[in-house]
Amino acid sequence: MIRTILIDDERNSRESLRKKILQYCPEIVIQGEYANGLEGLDAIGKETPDLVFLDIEMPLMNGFSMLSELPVRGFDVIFTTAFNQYAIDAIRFSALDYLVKPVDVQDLVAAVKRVKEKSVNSNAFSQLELLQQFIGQKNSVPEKIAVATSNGFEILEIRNMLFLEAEGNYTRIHLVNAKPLVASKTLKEFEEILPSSVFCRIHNASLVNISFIVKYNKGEGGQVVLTNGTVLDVARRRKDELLQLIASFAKKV
Amino acid sequence: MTANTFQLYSSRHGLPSDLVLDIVKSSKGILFETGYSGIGVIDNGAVYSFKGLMGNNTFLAIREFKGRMYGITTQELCELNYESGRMNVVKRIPTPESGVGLATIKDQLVVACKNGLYLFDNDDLILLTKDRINQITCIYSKDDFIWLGNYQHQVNGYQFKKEGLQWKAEWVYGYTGKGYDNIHCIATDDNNTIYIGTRLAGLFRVNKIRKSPSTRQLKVDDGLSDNNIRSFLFLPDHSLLVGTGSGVDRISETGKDSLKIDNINNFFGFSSTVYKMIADTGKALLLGAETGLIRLTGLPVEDTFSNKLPVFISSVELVNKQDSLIDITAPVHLQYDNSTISINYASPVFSNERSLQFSYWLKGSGQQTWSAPTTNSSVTFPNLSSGHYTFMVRALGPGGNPSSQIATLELYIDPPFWRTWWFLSLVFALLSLSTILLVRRRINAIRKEAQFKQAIAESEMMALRAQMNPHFIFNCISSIDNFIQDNDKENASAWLNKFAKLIRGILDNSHNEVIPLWKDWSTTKLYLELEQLRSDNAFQFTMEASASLLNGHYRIPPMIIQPYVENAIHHGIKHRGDKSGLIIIKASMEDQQLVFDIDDNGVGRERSAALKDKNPIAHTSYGMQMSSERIALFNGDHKTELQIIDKKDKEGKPEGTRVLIKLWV
Repeated sequence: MIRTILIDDERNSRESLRKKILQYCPEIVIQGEYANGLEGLDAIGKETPDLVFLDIEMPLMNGFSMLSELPVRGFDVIFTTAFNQYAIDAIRFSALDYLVKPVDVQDLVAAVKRVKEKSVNSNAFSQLELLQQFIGQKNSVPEKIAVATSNGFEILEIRNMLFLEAEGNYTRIHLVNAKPLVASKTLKEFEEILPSSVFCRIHNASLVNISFIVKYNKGEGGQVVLTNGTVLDVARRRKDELLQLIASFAKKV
Repeated sequence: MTANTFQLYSSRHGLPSDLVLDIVKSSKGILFETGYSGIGVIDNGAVYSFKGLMGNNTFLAIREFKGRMYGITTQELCELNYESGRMNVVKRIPTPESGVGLATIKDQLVVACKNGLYLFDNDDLILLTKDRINQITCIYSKDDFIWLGNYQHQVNGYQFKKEGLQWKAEWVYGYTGKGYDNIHCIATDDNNTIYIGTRLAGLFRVNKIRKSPSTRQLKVDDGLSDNNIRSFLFLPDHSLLVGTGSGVDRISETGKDSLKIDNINNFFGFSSTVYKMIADTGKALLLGAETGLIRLTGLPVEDTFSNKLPVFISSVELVNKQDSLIDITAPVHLQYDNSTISINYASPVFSNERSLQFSYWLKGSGQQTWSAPTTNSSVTFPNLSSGHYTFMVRALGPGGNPSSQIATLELYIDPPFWRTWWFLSLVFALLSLSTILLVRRRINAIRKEAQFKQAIAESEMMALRAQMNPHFIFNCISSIDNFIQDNDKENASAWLNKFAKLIRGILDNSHNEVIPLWKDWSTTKLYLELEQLRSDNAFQFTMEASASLLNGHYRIPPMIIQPYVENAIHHGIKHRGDKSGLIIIKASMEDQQLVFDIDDNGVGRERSAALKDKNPIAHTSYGMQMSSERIALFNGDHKTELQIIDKKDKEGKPEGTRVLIKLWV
């Protein structure tokens, strides 16, 4: 049983979400619905929910502001938003969950499933801290991102990420001076959130931080050699883009 | 090249007079010269002048004899004693006739008088001969011969010999030439050639002293500097120096009967009459001239002085201007419009001027070589065009041989100011500058135009984006989704249709810069209805416009008031937190202006801004900014009328916002 509250200023959205939850997520018990952050804060204090569906854009107090008012967060959050690319980016950097409105039922079920399967049933404090940071530093490339793992999540500095390797639905992240890390997200998702000026998808199976490339071996697609000696194949179709990126990167440096 | 120096001793240097008639160098190396006013001595570099030795101070000749000096005047022969700068007359022996000259031969001193030849012996003058002697003018001795020239065009040669204790002069040769004129000087060489110098007829070269002598006359026309011949001197190379009334010439035999005459004085740059020439130590020559005693240290190499005719440019004047002498010590600069000039030049050769010719070359004028020889001593160049010229002139000697001496003059004709480099560069710079400015201006204009167009395009696109605010769209869809969840077919369909209508209206209108007022009015109404649905009827709205206005022809930019309406809802009404929001929209005509009045009872701008500051993820709306720009564009030159009024109640509390928009339709 997951005790849940919904916070959304638009009644129609709220109702729509509620109906979908009732129909498709039997493990959820809805304890209440609230139209803004102030009401939500109040409710969280009283109800101590396990999960909060939190709309981001709300009058008086938006979702993020509401979260930052809470000293202790013993609950998971699934953000809901109609459209706010910027907010979505911040959520993704923090490895948090979100749903876009109108809510797709499959996404809803998957999100709830992830909450259910978590060993620790709350978003770690530091993860929300990270989110606040990203929101604070509007429009700049983050230095760190949170990466969800089977055990929870880890916060990684982007500049320490050598390259990322696809392993089915997981991604192996190779780090400088640290053991590789397996993240529970696809390589494609990382490609979307990592800055494209530094990370290049050189192959179906690899996303490389170009600042670590020390050598390029010519070939059909060629190969890149990283500072630690790793040799990675470059797909023929990715070659031009890579070389271009390296050139512009070199210019910046 | 050895230095051929020219040294002159004259009265200025201490000689009694400039004129030097005779020179002799004593066995002690002391130089004695005679002239009109006495005797001059150059002793070891010191110059002494002895005047007033006798009544008649014109010494015609001076010789050393038995360690003493003897001078002769027309009246007396005198013995002179010279000792370290002092001179006194020892003896004076009156001559039987006018004294003419002296000669030393076979250790004897022979005195030529007007009508007799005398031997100086034992302080007395003993007659040697009067044979064929008549008005003697000169005496010359060589080996054992004494030669006498006279006024009667005659030259006679006497053999001087001793018979017993008696010295005799026996006549041997005699020549009479028609053109001989007065005989001034005589010289014989080792090959039985006798040279006779005359007063006006040049010199005669008489071959074969014995038997039918052939003579050859040399005159100015043959290359001599002057027809007045005053002295001869054979040089060691057997060439003959000829002292003339205008300097010294040299005659060298270049082959059988072929002679070469060089005007040596031209080389040294003097041209006075030379009365006497003797050889000095080394290769130096001493010349007795009318200007003084000249010492030449050696003669120039054979060929060099023949073409050393001096020449110089004496003056340059502007032809168009009287008395316009131009300074020619520096390169001459002239103006382009006053460039007709006359250049005068001269060669300071005072003899032989008829045969002196010049040749010039104006380099820079297109003249390719030296001009043909001309006797003119000036040349005029009309209207020289601007540029740099070098004028060169040289003299040509008697044979037409050009002198290597060239006088040059640099001439600069300044171009007119419009052809000077600075003017041309100025013009060029100005042209370039104006071109650059024009091009830049044009580029700026084009850029501005492009920017303007882009601004319009952007504002239109942004306007569209603003209306199509994705947040709005997805929330609308979310609302409709809710009806579907409820199985409320009517509402779901009705709202979906409204939504579709709004989207269609926006898409359609976005193609046009202006649309009829009524179309925009109904789109705005649809928008308000959908916002109402989203907000769960948190506000009411009214739209007021007269039928005539809506039916009229008025055209406005699409969705121009929508951002203000959206603002009223999201930043005014929504923050109220209750369901009593009210928006009143009015459209009316006032003085040809279409006035929109958007009035809400929201929280007001101040409170709204405060709330927004707290919200870092707030959607940044460019809608209103874009709208105001579009209004400005639409109104063009008219002042943009956009008024935002913060409404306050009696207590001063904000009670909403009112926006007034005026469009010049």
